[in-house]
Amino acid sequence: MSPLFRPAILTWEYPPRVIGDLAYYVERLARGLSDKGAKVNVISFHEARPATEGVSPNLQLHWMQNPVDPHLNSVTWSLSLCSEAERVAADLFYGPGPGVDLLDVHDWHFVSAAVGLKKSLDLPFIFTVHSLEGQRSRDLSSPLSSCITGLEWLGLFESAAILATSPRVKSQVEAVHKVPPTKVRLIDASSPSWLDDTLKAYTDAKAAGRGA
Amino acid sequence: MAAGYEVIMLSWEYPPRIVGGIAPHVYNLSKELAKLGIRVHVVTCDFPDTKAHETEGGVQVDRVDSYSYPTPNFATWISMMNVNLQKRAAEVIRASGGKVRVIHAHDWLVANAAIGLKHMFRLPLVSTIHSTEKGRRGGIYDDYQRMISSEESWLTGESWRIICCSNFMVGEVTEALGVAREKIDVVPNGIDPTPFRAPLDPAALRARFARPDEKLVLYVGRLVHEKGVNLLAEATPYILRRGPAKLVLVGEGYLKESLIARAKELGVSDSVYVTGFLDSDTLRGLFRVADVSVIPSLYEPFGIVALEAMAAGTPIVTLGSGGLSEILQNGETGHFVQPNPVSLADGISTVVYTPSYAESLRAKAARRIPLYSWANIASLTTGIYRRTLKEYDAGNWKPPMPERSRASS
Repeated sequence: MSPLFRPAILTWEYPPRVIGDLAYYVERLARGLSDKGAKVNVISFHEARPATEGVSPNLQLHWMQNPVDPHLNSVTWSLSLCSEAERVAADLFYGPGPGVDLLDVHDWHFVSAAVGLKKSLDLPFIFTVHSLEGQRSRDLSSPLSSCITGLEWLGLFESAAILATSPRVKSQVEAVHKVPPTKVRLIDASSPSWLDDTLKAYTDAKAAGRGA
Repeated sequence: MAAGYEVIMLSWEYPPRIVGGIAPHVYNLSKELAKLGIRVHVVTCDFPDTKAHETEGGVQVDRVDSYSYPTPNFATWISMMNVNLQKRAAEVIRASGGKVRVIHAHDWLVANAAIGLKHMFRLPLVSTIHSTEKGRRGGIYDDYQRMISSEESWLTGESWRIICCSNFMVGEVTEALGVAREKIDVVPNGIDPTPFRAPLDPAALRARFARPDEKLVLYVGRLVHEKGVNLLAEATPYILRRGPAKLVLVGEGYLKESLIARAKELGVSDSVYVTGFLDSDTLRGLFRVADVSVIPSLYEPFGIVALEAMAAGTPIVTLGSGGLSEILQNGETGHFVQPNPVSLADGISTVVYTPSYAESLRAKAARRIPLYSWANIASLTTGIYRRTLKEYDAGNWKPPMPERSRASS
């Protein structure tokens, strides 16, 4: 493969901070892509880890702390952290390292950052959806769920491509948010071709043009 | 006479959406900056029957969908609104082709958007702090306030320069937010005196609010504790001992009902008129026909009401709190009193029953109005922009090779 994939992966959980399965999924993805030669930067949150940790020559972890404390709910927490994610990603973009040429955003927390980076730096982004608020929330009509659904919609609308990690998520994305099926790919982490399928999606998103 | 750079202003309110003092401030400042050759882009919230994009007085205004779906509270709405604000602002900055060189944020309400834009474009951020959460509420008492105060600290920490409207506010920002004094510039609020000279039938207007034999004592402001309006109510019986007067209280606030009730208890209901909000023309006219303008504020970051009274030629009686002591000089341009009803009543009587003193206060105050012209405010602000850009240009923090990372892989 080309060694010049430079994805920044934005995720609200990554080991050792594990909330659910998302952390392990992203860790496998980041390690797998870096093993294939991609220059991978993971941008995530941890209250105590150092700002940057090098896992391997091709894999760097960037830990953010929330610049605002305390917070009222997960939306205010995520959206101030998004500005910090924009800072970290912009520093990678402008910095002396290999840079960033694509964003892969996992679930809704950092969608706003991805949209800001797309609009500001012309970076295309992939929105990888593991679950939707409609599947998680007990009360989808609550104001907080409404905000999260709004951010999910923004990610679905602004992204260059959507990767759904299960058939159920894919059908929900298409049915609830009315996303054209051509924009949504099913990505199966149990498949032997999972990493290659992901890289194919990255390639297509870049080829479609930044800001697509 | 183009300045060679453009500025993007981020504000949650801009006319005709007027919530507080930020909207008129950003509106007048932007217009005057445009006159100085600086192209200003304002990105703000939408408002019914306004255009999403328009150019007015040389100012490009973009109004974004401010997020109209339900949110759990105001602060969460602000977070959601900032998503759309930033998205549009990024488009505006990119479309300028590098001409936008300063991001100017107004209060914590746009912090999320402004700070992200600063880093993504590597542009200097200038912030005006109009007030602080601690000052507005008289302290920090719960997590909601702690979050807002933390946002304010974050914004000031990320700002290249910070603008405050008074030395009083400088003290508040350094104390409450831990900002270094060296980082702050003082630029007062401004006033356009022109509308205060509009044609007026003073007798007819005055007759709507007071009898000819009554002195017209005017209070303009929110009816809340920090404005000291309770003190004025308590002073009313003492004022009436000197002669007939009508206290006209213009504004709304949570104290409205209790003020009316207190006037009844004191037996002065016939001498107190709580008007609620008034239209701008009537309000400006009232300043001009009033015998005295009373500003009993206990907390006042600046005191724009003092400029309105000065522009209208109304003598001022005040406690001189906060920024008021910087606008007014005791015995010269305003009459200062102690924070108790007797002193306040004495001060009001002194001014309204000593015409030569009232005239002196009025004349000296009028001479200071040019200091607060928006042209002067804009000129001071451009000085801050120039200093910021000079420091920025001399440094390394900027997009080193803007197209480098976009090179085809």
